[in-house]
Amino acid sequence: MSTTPHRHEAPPANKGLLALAGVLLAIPIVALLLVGTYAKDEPRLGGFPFFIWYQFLWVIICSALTYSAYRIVLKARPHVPMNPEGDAYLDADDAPREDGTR
Amino acid sequence: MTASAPAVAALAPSADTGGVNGVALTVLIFFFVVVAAAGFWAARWRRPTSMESLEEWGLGGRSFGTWITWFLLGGDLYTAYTFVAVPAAMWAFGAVNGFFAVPYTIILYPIIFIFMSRLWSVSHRHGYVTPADFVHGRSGSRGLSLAVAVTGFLATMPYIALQLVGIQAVLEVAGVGGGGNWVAKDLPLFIAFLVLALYTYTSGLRAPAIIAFVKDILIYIVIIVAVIYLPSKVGGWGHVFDAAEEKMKTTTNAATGNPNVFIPGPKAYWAYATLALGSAMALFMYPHSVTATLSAKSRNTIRKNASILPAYSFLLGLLALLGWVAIAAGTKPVGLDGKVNGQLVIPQLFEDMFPAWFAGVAFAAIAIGALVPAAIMSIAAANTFTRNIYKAWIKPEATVQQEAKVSKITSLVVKGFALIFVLTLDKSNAINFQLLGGIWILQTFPSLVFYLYTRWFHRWALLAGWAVGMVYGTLAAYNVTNKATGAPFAGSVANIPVIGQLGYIAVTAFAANVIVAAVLTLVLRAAKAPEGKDETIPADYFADAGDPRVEKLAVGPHETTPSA
Repeated sequence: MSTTPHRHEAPPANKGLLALAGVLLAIPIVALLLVGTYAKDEPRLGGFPFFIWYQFLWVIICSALTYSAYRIVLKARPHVPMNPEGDAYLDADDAPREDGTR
Repeated sequence: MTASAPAVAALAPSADTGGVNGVALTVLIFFFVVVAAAGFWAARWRRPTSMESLEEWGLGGRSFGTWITWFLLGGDLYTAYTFVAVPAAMWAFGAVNGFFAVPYTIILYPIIFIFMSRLWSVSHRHGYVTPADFVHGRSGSRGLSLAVAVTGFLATMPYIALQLVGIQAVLEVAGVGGGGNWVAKDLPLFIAFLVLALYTYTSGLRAPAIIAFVKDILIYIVIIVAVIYLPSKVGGWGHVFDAAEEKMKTTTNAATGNPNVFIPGPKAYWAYATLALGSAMALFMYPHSVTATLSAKSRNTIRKNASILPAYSFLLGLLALLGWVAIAAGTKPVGLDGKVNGQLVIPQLFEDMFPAWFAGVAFAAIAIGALVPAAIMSIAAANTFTRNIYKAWIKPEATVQQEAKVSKITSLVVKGFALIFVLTLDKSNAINFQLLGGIWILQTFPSLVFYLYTRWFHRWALLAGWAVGMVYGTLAAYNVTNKATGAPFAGSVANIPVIGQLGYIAVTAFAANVIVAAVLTLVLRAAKAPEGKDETIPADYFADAGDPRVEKLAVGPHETTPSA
């Protein structure tokens, strides 16, 4: 088993930053699912009802939030290369583990 | 092409809307032949040694800058769903049936951002190519893996059916086919099917990449011209919305008996939100979507793309609004059988408002924009069948040649079933095909996504939850009857038990699925039911390109992004 990686567990992560990224990602989902907050005609913008232009606005906001989350997760859990050599796990933990982190 | 168009136009005087539109049809056939020939040529030209470079090209790899990559990624998003079904739903029934596609394609990206990187990593460590591969490796359960594979195979069929309806709509407006007996009536559909089958055999199996440029340029030209030029021609956006409001407030949906919707009222909030959420959660469960994701260069590619892709939802929203532009323009989408058919509204709008040659370009964009994803979807479904059903259950010792043969035949079978869907189900609301597929595919979400994070759920409990979700979802969809014709499967929205509001059946079935899985897990844990063997380790879910055993997967033909 020369291809067994040294590391068995997930790479270490900054849990706070991961949670922040999670919040950023949740914002557009929650905002758009609350249909009652934007299902109205007025005020119109360039002829577009509020219902329409508000959702268009979220296209841009969502892009910005997702990009921020992308930068944050890169920082929160930097990639740790797997070591191709050796034939035992460093942490020797073979039990299935519930990994709640991202 | 534009140089020869006036000459063609001079030969054929502008046809009236009812008959054959000679110029548009000529342009449509011309583009189609060019695209098919390009694909065929690509297949011949490609030698095994250059496979890698072509693959890179298809992926918008290193040689491309951000802009071209962005361009290629977006082109895949516009299919018959966005061009035909969504605007048709907007035209006929209003915002709840159509415009939910905008929040759907926005929240899609945060959702996939969360779990798709994990799937990429673990799949590359273990050589998984389909969702069922991963579920098998993680759960150690062949039964659960089979359930996931069968669902992917089944759910792809109505999605392909939607693409067939799109091609059919274009052919019908261009004047192909005619009344009379049932064969003549469905002639455009049979031609669409034949074209798709031939296309998959010649070029679709080899090199969708090479026609990506032609296809995407056509699609963008048509979208941009349409959303800028058309609203100004019918009196501006303000007039468009007034006309739509007028129509929506004075008409009802004959199939459901509900009033049509300009802006959703309180009774439609749940429906709108669950349609968007359910569709977004479902899209990346389809085999063709997973294929596209796994073809990414590295673990974080999908996350980076997720932050630039929502921009396309903007154009999608404007395309959806073309359904309302057609209301202001007074478009009459009457089929060759003399009946009103909402699916024809966008092709008809283009034929009415544009010169015949540009209508032909638009028809070509819609037809090719339906053809390519349909081919890729059927191949992805066929590969799932071959890998996870044929090889896993029927003939484990199958040779590579036998596998390829089974894949080819199955890709035809999938299309055949898609044809049956179109012929037997109500076509007047084609967006419902995609929603029906969503009901089924969403039931694999717990097995795929929950397993990416935890093995707390017992494999048998997940299987039971899946079965409950599938049966409930299918029965609930069957029970939605068309009040005008009495036909079943007329819609995908039904009363949500407990909450008492209308909602997307997929989400209700999903909730039932998860509850059953959780309760049974507790029972099975208490009974100490045997666990399956997990062949993955936690570090697998974070592997990236360059790590041991992480190699490029041979996922087969794909587009750079899954087609919406």
